[in-house]
Amino acid sequence: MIIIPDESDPCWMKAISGEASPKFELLATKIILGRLTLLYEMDPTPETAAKCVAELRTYFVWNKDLPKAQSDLRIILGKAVNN
Amino acid sequence: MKQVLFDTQDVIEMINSGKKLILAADETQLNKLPSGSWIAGTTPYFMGEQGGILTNEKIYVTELPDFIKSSEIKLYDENNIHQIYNDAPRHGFTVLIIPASSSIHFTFALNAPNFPNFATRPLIGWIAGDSVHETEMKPKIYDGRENKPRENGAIALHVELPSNKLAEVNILNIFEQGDGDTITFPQDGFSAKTAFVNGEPVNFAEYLCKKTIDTRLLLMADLYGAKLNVSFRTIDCEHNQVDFYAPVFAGFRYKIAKPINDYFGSFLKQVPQDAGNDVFLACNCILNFLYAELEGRKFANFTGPITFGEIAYQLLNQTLVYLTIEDI
Repeated sequence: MIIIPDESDPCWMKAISGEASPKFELLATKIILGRLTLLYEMDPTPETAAKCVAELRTYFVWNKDLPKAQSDLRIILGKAVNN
Repeated sequence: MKQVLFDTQDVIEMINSGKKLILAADETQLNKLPSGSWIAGTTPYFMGEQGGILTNEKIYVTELPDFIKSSEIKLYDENNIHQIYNDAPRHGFTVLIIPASSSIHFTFALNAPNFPNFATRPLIGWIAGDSVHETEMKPKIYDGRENKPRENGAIALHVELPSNKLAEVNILNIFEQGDGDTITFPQDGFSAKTAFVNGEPVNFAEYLCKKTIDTRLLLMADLYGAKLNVSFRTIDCEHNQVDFYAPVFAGFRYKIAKPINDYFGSFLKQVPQDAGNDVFLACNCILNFLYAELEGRKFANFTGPITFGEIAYQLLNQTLVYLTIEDI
């Protein structure tokens, strides 16, 4: 089981800032993250960042038992490790 | 391949025996059905077990399997459709049907991505329609508990699965983004007068007319590989307006899709090797049905209603959407 880091973990900000274009497995991950990166790009304020990070994290909390969501989360966590 | 298109009398018997059903048919057949645990939307077009078909006589039936844990039918209006994701079961999926051109159709299309908990749980569905030859379409949805056709509202079936089953929504899209201009829009909407082409404001209708765009092509946004289509409804160069079958969203980077030489063949090439085995529900766009000339042609193992907008978390166009249920 992967532990989902809290909202202060830099992996979330890296994900919504769209620094990379990884290949995710779940359609829902692609749609949500695609939308959140655009929202943040259009309004790169701390308030929008906090809202986007919270939404992305909530998505993974809801789907933490799904193997493909775990795989997508690993990619996001991996970005934090690699960068 | 299992039977999916049934005579009305057969469906009446299924309903009376307590089966939980998701139905699609012409309203003349749906109006004959008794009350029961079913939801429905109108369409006379189908991907049947024998291939694409236009019929007012048959009903497309998707039966909930016995292994489901629970199910709940819920009718939504414009005041509570934003709760659709909150109402969805923690482990399961939701099927949603909305009548075309109704006010809730536009509400859902424009706002779904901003609904609380958007896409946190699998949501699949379609936009109900009518024959494209009808001069005035009157699409309807049905809540089987009351068996009354509705021209507005959205009918949902929330299905809870046991812990050893997993539902997943996916899409099949034959289009690829072209290499041309990047198009963005200043605001969300089903129509546009102005767009930004490579950052420069243009009269969008004029731009498309000058480019002599084939309206069978479409606008496409690519979100981490999820290809989201927006089809052209009309390009009115005289009144400088472009209308779409689904909304464009401000900030999304769209491109005109690449031309397709063999529409049907392109679909077949996209079908995953194992497609059909675990598919519980699928629907395909009326524009794909028409442009790929699907009538009378079998499309891999996919069956389902032909629809006037497809829902995979949000409204899409010219896309086959499907939901699989797998063992875990």
